[in-house]
Formats: sequence, structure tokens, C-alpha cells
Amino acid sequence: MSGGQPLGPTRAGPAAGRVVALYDGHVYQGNPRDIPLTAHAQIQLDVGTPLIAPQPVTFPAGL
Amino acid sequence: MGGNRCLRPAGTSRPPGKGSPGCGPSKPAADAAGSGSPAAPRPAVVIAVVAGITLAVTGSSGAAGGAPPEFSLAPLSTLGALQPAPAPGPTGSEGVPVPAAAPLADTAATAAGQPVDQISCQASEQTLFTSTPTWPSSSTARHGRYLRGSASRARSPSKPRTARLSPPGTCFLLAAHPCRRRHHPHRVPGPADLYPRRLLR
Repeated sequence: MSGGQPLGPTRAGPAAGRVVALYDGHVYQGNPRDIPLTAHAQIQLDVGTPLIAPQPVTFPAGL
Repeated sequence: MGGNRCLRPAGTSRPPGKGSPGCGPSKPAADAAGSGSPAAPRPAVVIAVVAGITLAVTGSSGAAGGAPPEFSLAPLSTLGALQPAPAPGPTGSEGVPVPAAAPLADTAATAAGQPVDQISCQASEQTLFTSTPTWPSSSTARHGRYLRGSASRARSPSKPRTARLSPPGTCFLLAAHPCRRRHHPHRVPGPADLYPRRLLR
């Protein structure tokens, strides 16, 4: 993970627990470490429970 | 995980930055949130990553200049009931919300001067932000030590333009903002190919 923090199926930085990755409002299946950081991708990592619904972001023009 | 799982056949890829047409429409966040109680406990951490930054470094990011990534997505409904998302937070300098959450890592990076994902972070901020909303020309990149220009404000051309820095190892700058961890100078081990609308890790 960028910043030298650990990231995997059971850890995201200092937080430990089952990591559920949401990618553009869908469930990413695989190791969160492998999530591609594509342009305008909206990625949310839920660590532990309860799970939180994805929160969409509207990008400003030109970004 | 059975019938709802959406696996993409080999050789197909998910278009970056788009929805997931192969998986069918996902529920809007409000619908998917279910009817969870506002007093319900929050998860340990919710981390949102918005890939809106527009640079990438060849060699450190598989998405830069290579084949589109392949991965599998499943409908949100496979997770069952979800709690509604909290308030998005105030709008940050890039015009997108910045959730009020504890930082995962201190900006006084322990990686300062050490390579992380083949990128070495410098120890100090070197803000060279310019308000000129232009993408740096290749000549600027060739002859200058730093790239000038605001990546986040750049008017991205339809086709990515490449600015190759030389000599290898030259430091370059993302649209610098001293308050944002991802906006700080990096040193790359070789020539950097910069692409608009790509993220530098």
C-alpha cells in the first residue's frame, strides 16, 4: 500500500479485520492489494463490520 | 458466492473509470444501504480512495502504458444489508470530499528517502505549484528539473501525452498541496512517463 502501510485481505494500514473492497460500487473479488488505481476509480475499503454502503463521488470537470 | 458472482472471461477487462456493465446495474448507495440503525456501530475503518490524480510512473504502476487491468467484480447485493455511508466530509482542494477520518499514515513518512513501490519519497515538501492550468510540455520536462503545472487542473488531451524526464532519477512534482499526502515530490529510479488522468502511487 502506498505510504508503506500494509494492505491485504485482513489488514488495511493499522486496522485489522476482514477487508471488503468496493470498486465503483461493486464488490472487488481478490486481494485488495491488487486493486488497480485507474483514473476516477472510486475505491472503498471496509474493514470489519458492519459494512458501509459505497459513497459515490462526483468529480469536478477537468479533474 | 454462487449465482450472483460476476466473473469476467479471460482476455476481457474492466474499462477503467467506468461502471461495471458486465455485472449489471448496482444499487444506488441509498438503496443498498438498507435500513440500518443510525446508532449501529461503525466498522473499524472505512477507507475511500479516489483516483483522480492524473499522473503515473512507468515501472511502478502496472496500469501505466500496459494492458488494462483484469479483475472480477460482484454485485453489491452479495454483501447483504449495508449501513448507510456517513457524511462525505468537506470538499477538499481537488473538489472532491475528504472524509473526516484518522490518517492511515503520518505525513512525516517513515519512507522518506526509502523506496516504496520503487518510488522514493523525499524528506521534505518542495511545493512548486503553479496556477497555470496547462499540461507541461515535453520540452519543459526535458530541460527542467521539475515539472511545472497542476496535474489536477490539466486539460487532459484525448490521448495521453508523455513527458519523459531526463536525466534518469530527476525529481518531478505532482500538483503539490502541502496538506495532501499524495501530493509531494517523488524520485523515480528511471525516466518517468507521465500520463494525464493517471494516478501516481
